[in-house]
Amino acid sequence: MKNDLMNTSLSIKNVYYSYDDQLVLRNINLDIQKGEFVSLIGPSGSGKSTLLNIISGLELPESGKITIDGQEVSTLGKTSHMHQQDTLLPWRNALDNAILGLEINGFSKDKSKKIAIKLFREFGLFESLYKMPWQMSGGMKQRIAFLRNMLLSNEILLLDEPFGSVDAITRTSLRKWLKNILVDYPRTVLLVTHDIDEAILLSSKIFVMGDKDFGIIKEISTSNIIEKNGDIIFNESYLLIRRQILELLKLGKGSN
Amino acid sequence: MNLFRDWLPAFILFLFGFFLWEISVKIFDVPDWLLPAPSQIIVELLNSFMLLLMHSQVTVKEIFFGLTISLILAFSLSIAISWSSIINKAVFPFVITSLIIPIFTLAPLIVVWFGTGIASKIVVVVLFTFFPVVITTVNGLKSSDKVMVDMFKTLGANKFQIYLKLYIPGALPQIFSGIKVASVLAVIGAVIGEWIGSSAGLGWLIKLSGPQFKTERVFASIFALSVIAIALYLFTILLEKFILKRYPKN
Repeated sequence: MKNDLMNTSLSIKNVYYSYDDQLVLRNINLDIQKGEFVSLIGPSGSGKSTLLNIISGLELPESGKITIDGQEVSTLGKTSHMHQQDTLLPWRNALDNAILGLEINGFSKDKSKKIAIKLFREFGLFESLYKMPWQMSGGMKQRIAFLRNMLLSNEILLLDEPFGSVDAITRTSLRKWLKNILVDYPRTVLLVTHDIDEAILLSSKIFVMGDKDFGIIKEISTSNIIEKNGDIIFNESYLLIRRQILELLKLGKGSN
Repeated sequence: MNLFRDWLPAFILFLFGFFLWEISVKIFDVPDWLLPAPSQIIVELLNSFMLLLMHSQVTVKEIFFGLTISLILAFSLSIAISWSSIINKAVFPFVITSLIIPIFTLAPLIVVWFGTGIASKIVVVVLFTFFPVVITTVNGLKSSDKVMVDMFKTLGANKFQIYLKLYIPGALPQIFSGIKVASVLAVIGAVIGEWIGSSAGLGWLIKLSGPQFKTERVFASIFALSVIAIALYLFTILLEKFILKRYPKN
């Protein structure tokens, strides 16, 4: 138990949140271990993105406690938060967009560029270094936005449907790209997604969220269904988990 | 080449209009004091070139100082309005309602308060140009997507950094829309200021030449004012193109 607490990177305890007198999050509890990749899946309007906003400090919970490495989070900038929408500044090229976070945190432009160029090379994005956002595809923009977040050495990475706006083929390649990067640059990741396959493929644990009246319904482990090369094995246990998640989502919407 | 092609039809129409005007005045024997022919206006432009230049300098000076002060004040107030919701609630309704006040009616009061020197003309130019710039700039500063603002916040940016790196560059197209309107209004403001009370400037020259039936001089002064207005407008457009090339919105 003591060992578990020491390894817990992100802990959310009894979090409630209301907006305009409407309850959005009810008694949310989850623990994520250091270096773990966890997905949060649930129907639209279940408060998944709100939960990420609370963790990153954009919103304040009505009650409850959020701790990172045992320290209560009260300020912005302690976690890296990537959004679904394109958040590159149209007047900055890829490199200048990538160093935005470093600049904001007091790094000189030259030093920031040196650090960023190294990562561009390692992430396979070197050829896009000086491209303007209008010259990039949706997938490329998301890669640059991801790199911008990775440049900040925050332990916690919050991904809010980062691949939601790209086509299926790009999505698949982005998943593999992301998985490979996290091998060399491990982070504690909380991914919000609607995509069950994406959740199973990327994470070691899935939290299924129901409507606001339900909160988190179940925690599911996804071990033994992912091959070493990052592809899903469509075996019986995969299908079982998929069916289980679908059933839980239906239950969470109150349709069963 | 494109510029030539774009402007050629307008230039031909302009020449045709002048030709029609010249012929009509000659055919109908219109007296000079009522409507001089374009050729007479050109002669007056050449004959009174130094006089027009001297008065143009006065008007340009009023426009320059008035517009500069106006832009500085307008940007400062716009940032204050968008920065603080209290300032926004207290000041912005007055900015909006000020648009319906005919500033022309305030001009005599301004002459009483600031005299007949350059100060009163500068104040009139400021009053004419200030409010449109404030409205467009405030709208521009408030136009950033929430998700972009959230992105800056999660990167740890403070309010000053968000203004410098997001709000202001993002508002540049709207800011330039306001400046373009202001550049035209500044010329009108300077002329009105000179009409109310002054002893120099193109507006004053028009006011003086009208009752003396020097109609060709009135037209020559209007031509000089048009040159100033077009030059100022073109300068604003060039500046806009130069800056927006570095800060494209999309």
